[in-house]
Amino acid sequence: MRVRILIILLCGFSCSVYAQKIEVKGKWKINVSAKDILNAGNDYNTCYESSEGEVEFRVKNNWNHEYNGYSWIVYINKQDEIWHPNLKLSVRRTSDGSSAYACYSYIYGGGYYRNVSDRHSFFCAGYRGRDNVELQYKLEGVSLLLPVRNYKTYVTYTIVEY
Amino acid sequence: MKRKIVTLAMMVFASYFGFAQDSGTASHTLSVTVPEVAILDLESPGTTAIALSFTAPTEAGMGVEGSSNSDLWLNYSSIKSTVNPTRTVNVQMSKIIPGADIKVAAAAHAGTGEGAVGTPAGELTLTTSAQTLVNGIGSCYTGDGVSNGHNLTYSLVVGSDYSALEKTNEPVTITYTISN
Repeated sequence: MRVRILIILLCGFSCSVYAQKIEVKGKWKINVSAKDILNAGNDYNTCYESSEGEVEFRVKNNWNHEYNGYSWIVYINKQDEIWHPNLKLSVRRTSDGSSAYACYSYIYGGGYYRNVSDRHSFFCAGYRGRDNVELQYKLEGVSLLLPVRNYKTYVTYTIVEY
Repeated sequence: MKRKIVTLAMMVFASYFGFAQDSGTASHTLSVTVPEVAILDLESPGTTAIALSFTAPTEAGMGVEGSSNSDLWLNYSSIKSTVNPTRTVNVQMSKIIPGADIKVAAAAHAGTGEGAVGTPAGELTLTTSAQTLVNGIGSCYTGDGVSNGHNLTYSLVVGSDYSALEKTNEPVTITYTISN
């Protein structure tokens, strides 16, 4: 009998094991145009910025949604499909987002542009779930000296609990 | 029996703390499209309309004297095509002035700018057909404004047939084109 109870408990725990998840919504596509060159003889405006909230992320609690929040850290990195070493990507957080349990949830870090490289680096951290955390990207290094190409990278957000 | 209970209890315990190592990832794409670019313009301290004239001789029996002008600068921005690795700047004028030749020469690149700027082809006598003035232009920009790019020197000289010269004040249009 005890064994059966334990098995039931085990199943229950397994199904409701707490885990934070992160979801990202949006993408950023830059169409560099010759019109960006104000006068012949100039280079491009080398810095492009996305609009605020072009991309958003959401930290979601799996268990009972907001009730059982834990601390988390979001790391960021990129994986290049086609990229150029002169292109420098950075990202910042332009909002705290929202939470159904605002008093018990917070987010910090990432308010200033942080470089996004191939290596995981700290972006921001928080406690409990957050919705609609807005992000803004900045791309530097766009130049006439870059070969004609469609450059593409995957920006990945990784959440780790602690 | 007791062993089974302990084992199951350990599994429950382990599963409970397993979340501490849980992580999730989410990603999105970021794409940048860099297109071909080929634009040029002319810059000068004042207007790009220049006046060249012959000077009448002060001594009877002498011919008219030509003149020159180096006010204009050729600026361009280029990203080379994947098909054609280099571009050229061609020049032509709208009509011939009887008895007179208009020549143009582009100096080597000067000023700011960066990249594979073009190489001047030397002095050309302008005609109504396009001729290459600068070649070998890759991905580059010359810098914008006066003192950047290629300085252009125009010369007005008497042509091979002096007898064709006649009084005129007709403007001619000189057109520069950067190839695609």
